[in-house]
Amino acid sequence: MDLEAAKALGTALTKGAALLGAGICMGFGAIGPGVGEGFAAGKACEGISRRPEEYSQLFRTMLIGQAVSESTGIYSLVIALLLISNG
Amino acid sequence: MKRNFRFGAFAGLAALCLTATASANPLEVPVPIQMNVFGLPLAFSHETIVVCAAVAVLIFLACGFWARGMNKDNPSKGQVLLEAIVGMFDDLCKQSIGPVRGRKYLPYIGTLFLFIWTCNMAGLLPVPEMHLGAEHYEDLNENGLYDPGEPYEDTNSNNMHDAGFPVPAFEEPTKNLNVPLGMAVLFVVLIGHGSQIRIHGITGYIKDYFSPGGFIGVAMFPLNVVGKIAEVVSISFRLFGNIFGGVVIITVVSGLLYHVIFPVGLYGFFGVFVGTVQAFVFTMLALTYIAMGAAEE
Repeated sequence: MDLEAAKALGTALTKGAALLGAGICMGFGAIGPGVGEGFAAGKACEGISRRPEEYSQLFRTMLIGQAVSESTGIYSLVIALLLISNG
Repeated sequence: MKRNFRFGAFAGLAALCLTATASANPLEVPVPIQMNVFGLPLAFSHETIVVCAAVAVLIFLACGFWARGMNKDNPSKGQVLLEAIVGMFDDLCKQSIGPVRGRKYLPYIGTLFLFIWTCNMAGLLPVPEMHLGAEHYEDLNENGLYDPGEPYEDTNSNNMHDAGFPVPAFEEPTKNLNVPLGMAVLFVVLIGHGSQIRIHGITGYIKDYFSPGGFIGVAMFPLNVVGKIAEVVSISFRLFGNIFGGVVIITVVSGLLYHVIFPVGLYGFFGVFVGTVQAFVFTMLALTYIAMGAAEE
């Protein structure tokens, strides 16, 4: 195998590995926020069913908590986009 | 009155003339505009300047026309809305910092929320695409410093635009990492740490890095330093990632669907809903970080 072919193979392998890594990163990174936000929503549902008059306060707190716990998923999204664009 | 109106119209026109460039590829980072401010070479993204001008015009017009007719005894609908918004942030500041000192932080927090919210809504403006001398890194660079090499060759995404319809070509400034990072440094480091130094003194500020105190405090010092840095990183990356991810999803799905009807719902969710929630979250977290150092006893 000459040098040019080896270089092309290396570039292709790098690109493929980066795309694969982006997929794996997004897939695993989405597990945590999904579970966490679902848990928060379930607990908020319980709280609303127990005290319906506190609905707005519970909803606001749940939304902020979900947006904060979403950030780990957002980090994996950023990493995945970096892998796609620079890989 | 007439002069106010004339000035507002002029400033609005100037804001429109400064319209930023946009591209089909959401991953491109435009080169910021370089300026010399007191001898310092600073870089501004042009969207930031546009949104600053737009917010300034809005506030100017609101002050010039709206506030003049305001009345304590017989409030209008808009006045009630404004008072509710200001009152909500006043309550938040008072709850987290304290009844006396919290009032002093209200202008910062309110301005932060208004600015981020306006930035996040900027993607909804249907201004047509204009190029204002901004080159992209790909064009500039021949030495391979930044060369993504056309990662998305998206041929579908500009059909409506090519037909002459004004697709939203205005980008959110918060989509550029420099803007959230700058705001995080400004609010968490300058205001948060600065007010902590001013209130507790420089010794109290340094003592905070050895927070449990004693031998354990010395061992905890690296963790505290990393924690302080992580505050800035997490708050800025959260806003950036949400807005950027939303833009990428909107662009990809719009390209797949030829910009027909469904992307409007996407703009409603990723533009309006996520933008509002993330602006509020950024504001709340900045307030929390400030309150760590500045809260009344």
